[in-house]
Amino acid sequence: MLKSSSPIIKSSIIQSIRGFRYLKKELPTVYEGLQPKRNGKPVMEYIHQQMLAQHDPLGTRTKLINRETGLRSGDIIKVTYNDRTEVIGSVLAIKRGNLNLGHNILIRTKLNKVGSEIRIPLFNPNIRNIEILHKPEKYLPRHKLYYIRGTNKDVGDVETFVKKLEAKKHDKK
Amino acid sequence: MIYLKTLLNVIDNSGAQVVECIKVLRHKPKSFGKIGDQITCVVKQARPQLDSFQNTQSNKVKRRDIVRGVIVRQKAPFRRKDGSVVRFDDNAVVLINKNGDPLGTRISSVVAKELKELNYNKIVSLAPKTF
Repeated sequence: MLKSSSPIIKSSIIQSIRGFRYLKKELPTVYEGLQPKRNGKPVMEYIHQQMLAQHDPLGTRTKLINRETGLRSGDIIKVTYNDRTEVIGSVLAIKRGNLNLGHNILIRTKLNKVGSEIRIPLFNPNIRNIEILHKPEKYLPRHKLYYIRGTNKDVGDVETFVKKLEAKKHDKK
Repeated sequence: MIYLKTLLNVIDNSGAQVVECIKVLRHKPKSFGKIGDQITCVVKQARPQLDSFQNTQSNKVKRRDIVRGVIVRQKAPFRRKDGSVVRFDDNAVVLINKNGDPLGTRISSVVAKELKELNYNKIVSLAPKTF
């Protein structure tokens, strides 16, 4: 161990001012403080950023759950998996994690008049792409739309709705 | 969560409309049935049988029959291996015989993907969609 000079000098200055000296024992030596790890960054933030760099290098998924510019419940999204299967549905709720990758999106649709819901983990490595197909002009109140199940505000057949929208766009062109 | 006395919709054209579960097969007494499990059930409500000379609709089961079925949709959320959680709005069943083949020839609405892994390939191919 190295004895650093400056703290000892400081302490000696203080002791000279005090006037009282401890005679029986020698004063304890004071060492220089250790360098803070990770430049003083909190552990969890550091690990979180490492995980994001690993699972979301382009930052597309993180953009999706941005509170101002990203998804909002009521939007219609299409999730494409690596094996080319697709799920289309209206967003019912977005669960956000704090400093972890535990975000997930609950989407709901009606298939053959049967309401079906799936909660999809956002950072699932099997997901190829998440695409926003439609944003409504007016949103329903609240961010978690659990209350619309089985009411007249419930989602319809989202797939046919999207097809109609695309047909309309095609006609305009 | 399907157990004794649960009412389920029947989504094939076997003739039954609502059945009541009386036993979840190959389960311990306190556990409940989920998607892919076979159940024994009683037909509570069936489509009316047409006149014999018209003979256009052939109901294979009638009210108060004891039949076997496989659960294809459930209301309780269940977890897939990739971490996603799936839930349907109703409990539904497809009636089968003891070999596992469906009694009806048509299935009217979606079934869960899990049935394919459990070798109910006939049900999956008959269904219009899997979710």
